[in-house]
Amino acid sequence: MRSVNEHINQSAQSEQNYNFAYLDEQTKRMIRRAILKGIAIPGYQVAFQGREMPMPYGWGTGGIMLSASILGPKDCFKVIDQGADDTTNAVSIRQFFEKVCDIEVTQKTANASVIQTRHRIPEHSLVEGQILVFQVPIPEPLRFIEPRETRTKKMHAYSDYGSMQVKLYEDIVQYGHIATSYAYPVIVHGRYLMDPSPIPKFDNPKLHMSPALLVFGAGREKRIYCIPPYTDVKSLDFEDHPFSIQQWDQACAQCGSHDSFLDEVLIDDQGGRMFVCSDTDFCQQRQGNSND
Amino acid sequence: MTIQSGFSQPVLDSQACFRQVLAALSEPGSVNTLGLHIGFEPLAASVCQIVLSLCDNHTQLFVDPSSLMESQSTLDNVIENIKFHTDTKISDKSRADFVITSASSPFVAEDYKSGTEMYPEDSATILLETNSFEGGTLLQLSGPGIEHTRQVRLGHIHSSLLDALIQPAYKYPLGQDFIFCCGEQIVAISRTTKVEISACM
Repeated sequence: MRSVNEHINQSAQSEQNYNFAYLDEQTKRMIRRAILKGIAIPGYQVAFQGREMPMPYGWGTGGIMLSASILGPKDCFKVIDQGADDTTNAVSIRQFFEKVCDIEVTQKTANASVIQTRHRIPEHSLVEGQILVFQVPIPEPLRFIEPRETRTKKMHAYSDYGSMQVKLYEDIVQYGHIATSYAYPVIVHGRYLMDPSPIPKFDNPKLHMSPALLVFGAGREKRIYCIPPYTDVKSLDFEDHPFSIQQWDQACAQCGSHDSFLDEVLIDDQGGRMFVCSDTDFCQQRQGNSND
Repeated sequence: MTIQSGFSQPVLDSQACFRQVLAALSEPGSVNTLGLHIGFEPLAASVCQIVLSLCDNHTQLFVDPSSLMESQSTLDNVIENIKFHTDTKISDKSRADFVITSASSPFVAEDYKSGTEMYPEDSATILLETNSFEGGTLLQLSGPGIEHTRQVRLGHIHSSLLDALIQPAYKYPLGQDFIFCCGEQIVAISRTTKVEISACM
């Protein structure tokens, strides 16, 4: 029987047999061309030929394919899942790229050149040159209004977005306010209606005139779309019901932040709860801890 | 006919070139450098590197013979080299995904794919060889990728091309994306970029 160490050595060697960043070059070129088209037409969903990845759909295969096509040996890579660097999804994707790219990884937003994210935009403001890769479950913002792809394709071609305004209006009629709190629809560069992926609407203002390049990948639905840096991104609203973001009465229980996105965490079975920052790196930095 | 070598490290070099093109297109008007291959003479090094890193047997390439090459044998040699390294298909103007031409020759936007309302991405990326980024009309760019405005010179470019940049033939989202290439340097103008002749000369 082989020892554990022999086994680890063997599997470490076998990973060297994969191409850099796992994907083959033909696939990377196809994805790269789709990204370039996505940048030329901000907010438009470019179809691409998704590949089977060594993990199931829903684990961020779209984001992983984008990251694999973007990353190079000089990059520093960070992965977050709901703002956290230390959740299963984030850890496994980070380890995956450490294995297949042998690149530097970080948990610090400021140090990363490429950040793959699920459902959040980091609190620490991004800078020019950084690339934020979003994992997207359902790229089509009109899908729950119109299930047929042939029809939504035409709705985008004609900028026929009245039905989305009606959906928000129905919220107001029913609840008195726009109840959509995540995946809040936006108009990009005054033209395309776009689903910003299930980020809380708290993060929507960060999309507008972002200094970083934002790329979105949906693996199951095989769509790529992008927002170039410094692009106008407007959240849909009404004159008398302007767009607003979530606010909390509490501050983060760990770092005391009043202006970050907070998660509500149950801490016992007596109904006790606390609010903590969803962005773990931001919270740690504020507490003065280095986590690298 | 001589086949020259391609990228010395195809995987890493095409990644590095892609990132430069990505930076160029996401920040129109910025000058980016592609310095990993000397190019197939007489094409500019940057043009060849873009083709080497983005073209394959799923793309169609048009090389404008009238504006670039000295002789038919030079053209054949360049095309053979490109085909050898990328396996890309050589096509006519109207079907090309990538076009190589000269910025100083007349430009007719209708010659190239500009996409459709349903599929605006089915449009040509036009690689234009120019002579410098220091000379020529001072242009002011604005739009996505540019915080306020950015000023750029694109060298000696044909008046029809300048007109096409200032007044695109197609209404957004239709259109073509331009990458100006001079030696190892590139400057991209996306279809979303608003181009004006700069007031302050």
